[in-house]
Amino acid sequence: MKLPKRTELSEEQEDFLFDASLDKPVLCIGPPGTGKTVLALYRASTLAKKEKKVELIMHSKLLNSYVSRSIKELNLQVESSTWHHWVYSRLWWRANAPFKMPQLEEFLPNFQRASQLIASRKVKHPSRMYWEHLIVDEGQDFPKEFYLFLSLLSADNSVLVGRPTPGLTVFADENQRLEEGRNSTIDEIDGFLGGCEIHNVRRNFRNTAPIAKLAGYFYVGLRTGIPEVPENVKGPKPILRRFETIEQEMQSIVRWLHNNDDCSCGVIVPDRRTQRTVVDSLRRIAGPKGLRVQKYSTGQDAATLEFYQSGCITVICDKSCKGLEFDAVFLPQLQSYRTEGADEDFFRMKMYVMISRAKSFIQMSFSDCATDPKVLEMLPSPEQDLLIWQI
Amino acid sequence: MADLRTSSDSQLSFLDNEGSKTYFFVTNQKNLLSFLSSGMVTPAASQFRYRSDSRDVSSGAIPFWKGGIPQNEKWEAEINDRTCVVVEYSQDHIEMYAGKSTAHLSADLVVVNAPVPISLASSIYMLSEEAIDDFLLRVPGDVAFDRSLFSARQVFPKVSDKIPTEIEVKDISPVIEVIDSFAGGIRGLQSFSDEIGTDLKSVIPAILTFLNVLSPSSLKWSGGTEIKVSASDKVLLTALVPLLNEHKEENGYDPVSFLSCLENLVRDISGSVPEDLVKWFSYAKALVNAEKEVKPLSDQGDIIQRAILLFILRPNLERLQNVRESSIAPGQNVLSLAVFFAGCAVGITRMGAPFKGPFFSYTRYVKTVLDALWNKSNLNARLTKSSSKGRGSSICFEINGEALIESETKQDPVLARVFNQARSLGYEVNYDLERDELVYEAHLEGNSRQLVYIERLSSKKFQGLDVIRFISPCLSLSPSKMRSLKKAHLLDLLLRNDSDDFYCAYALSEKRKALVVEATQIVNTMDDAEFETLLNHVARTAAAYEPGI
Repeated sequence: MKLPKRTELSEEQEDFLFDASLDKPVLCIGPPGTGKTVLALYRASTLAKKEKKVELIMHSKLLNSYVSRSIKELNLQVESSTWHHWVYSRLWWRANAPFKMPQLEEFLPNFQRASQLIASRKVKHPSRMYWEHLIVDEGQDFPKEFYLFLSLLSADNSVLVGRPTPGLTVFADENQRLEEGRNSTIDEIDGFLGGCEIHNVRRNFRNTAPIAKLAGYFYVGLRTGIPEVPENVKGPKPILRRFETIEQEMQSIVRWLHNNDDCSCGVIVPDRRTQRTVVDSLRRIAGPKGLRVQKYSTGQDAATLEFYQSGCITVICDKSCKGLEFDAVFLPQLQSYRTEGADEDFFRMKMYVMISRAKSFIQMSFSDCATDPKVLEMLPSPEQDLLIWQI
Repeated sequence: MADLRTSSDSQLSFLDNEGSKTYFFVTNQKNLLSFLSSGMVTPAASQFRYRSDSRDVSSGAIPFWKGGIPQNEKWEAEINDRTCVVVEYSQDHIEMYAGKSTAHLSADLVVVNAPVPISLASSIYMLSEEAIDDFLLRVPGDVAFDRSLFSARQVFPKVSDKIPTEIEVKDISPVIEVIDSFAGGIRGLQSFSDEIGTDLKSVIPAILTFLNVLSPSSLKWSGGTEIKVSASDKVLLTALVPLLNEHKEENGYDPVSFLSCLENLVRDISGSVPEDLVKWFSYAKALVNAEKEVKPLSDQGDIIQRAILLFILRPNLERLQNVRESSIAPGQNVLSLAVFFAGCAVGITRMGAPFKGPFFSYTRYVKTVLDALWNKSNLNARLTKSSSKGRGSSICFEINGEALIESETKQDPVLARVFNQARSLGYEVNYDLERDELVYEAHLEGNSRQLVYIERLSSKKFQGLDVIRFISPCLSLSPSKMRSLKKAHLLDLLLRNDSDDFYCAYALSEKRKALVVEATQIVNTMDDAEFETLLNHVARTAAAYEPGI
């Protein structure tokens, strides 16, 4: 993993990197795909150069696995962990073992109670709760009380013991909140942190214009929930293909990777049954060419996978693909997608998430079909010019 | 097309010699990033991501104030900003590049419509040491800098802020684009020299086409090397060059539309697409659409077409870095050309840090390119080779007397090891630097002599191991003879390969235009006995060859 070059950064990303204060609380807001995690790594690198001890936390284990690997490859002096690990172990356990973090329910800390314990000096080593600079990615995924708790710790003398106010940078997207009760709005984060310096990133950083446009076709939420199409960023137009057999369909994937064996490739399927079929078929074809095929399902240990390794095909179910990105994404076996009785909005959002995983190339395909699969009716027509229909 | 001649040659000493010999240009940190990236201060229209600065008042050309900063509230506020940057140059250096590219000249101000190398800046000032440190912390890794250039300064002498309301400025951005692109191509070759060697023969046609196509300046070539390029390849290169020059990394890349544009340009140049190129375009399209599988692009057949194909599949220097280990496994010449294309496509400003190199070396290089190309009515390109004592030789590629590539040819470390092993065993092996191979003349029974070549199979390592091949020609074969070999003859060779006392193999070598005997060996495990046995066995077998049919 390499941090993008200056010329690869958008103007607004460059503004963030040069204008955001290194000492005051900073909140960077943007929809998915605007490069917030890249900015988090860039900021971590800048702060580390300033000899700040930087800690980077996020909600998703998968994202943390990716970020940890990137930090290692970039040789950054930054510690990365999941939010749960940071709150329970790094923050509380270190300061107050053997007493556990009070909880409202499983995996939901009771920050109010924790604050009371600190205020009443019942925490054994409050100074151990100090951090120098904390970077929070996916900041909308955490409860608003967490931010209030951070504010309290930042001002508590028993935590600071003469040290400077700890730094805080939060990257968040209101549109991506997972659960209303457990998550925070931008206003709540800003309010609880006591007036952040706010920066916005809006431009799509991940996809080319043709992919962003196709993904946008399926998006059903508020338009503020998706990034602005990078109109000037060229790339191959997404393509829909028909194959006689699944072998031919899989061969097309393997051929693409053979010709681009320095790229990462994701194959997204609708269910585990299709995943098994696709993996078996791909392994038969890719193996002799020295290309790897791996599969990933939710719950699997992400650390065992090489998501971004070149010359490797990762086969995943649609439910597990959020947060991932690949140079090329293939959506084979379209005939396996159920459309009858399915909620159209739900299907469209699923398509949006799958398509937006692709950085530069996307191919949809089906095989072994006497008639066109029903799902094709949900795709943009050839006249809409968003997808090449090569069937 | 850009004309490198923006005006006639520089006019020296046109600035007022009275008073201060120091000139100041007021800008900001984000523009400074662009100057550091490109290695030059340019007019606004030529700069990557221009952010409003003092060039706004001079139609985009660079206003240098003599001895100070203009005296008014606007400029006062400007230089008191944390992000303000003042770049100082000496009068001599401004004169060197401005020449007749001066858009305006008065006692206190010279407005320059030319690129000025950042390496010649005497100092780069910011408001305070804190502002400098804060800026340098934030500079992305691909932008090189050196702390010693920066100084803190708040107070500057005041000069008159008089500036004409309308300054007429010629757009020089097409020229700067050509220079940026060309500099990128050459820097790419420099940075890949370990992989591609220093033999520039294969790249010279592309370099000359680049200069010819993009500049009607008269180009003279005195390389001493005869450059043969087929008519189709000439058309292909001529069509490719403007596409490389126009390419902007931030605008993404679509191989399908790139090929279409290339095909259209070929059609425009030659009226129709030549027949051999029709086939090539069809093959290239099938590859980018993954309808066909790419085969290794070795140094055989049409090098230029193969290199363009490689560039289309791997269009930037980062993607070419490990390509020799990939399924494409290009030959050295194919890779060299593709590196030049990719370097031109990315250009010097957008090039990544590993290719640019350290700040001073990089910015000196940019100055050299500007000295070679900026404001020149003639381009004299030259390639010289000289052999040095010992085992090396050096090459120098220069334009208008400015050396753009200077390098010593180095021995391949694996072959060097084999060379030393052979010499220590008393074998008079020679290192052919030009062909990057070892040559040994075996003296056999009956006063016969047999040449054995030892080459490194460098396209791919075998499970991380280095592999060499001993090769000895036994029958010369022209390409047409090779194609017309009879099945019976080939079967005879295959049967001989199966003999129990045969530790090598017959093969047809396109490179040597011969039937050869060859044996492959892993170097990492090769002891002296293995070396001697293989060397002698290959020589004797080749010498003893008699056609069976």
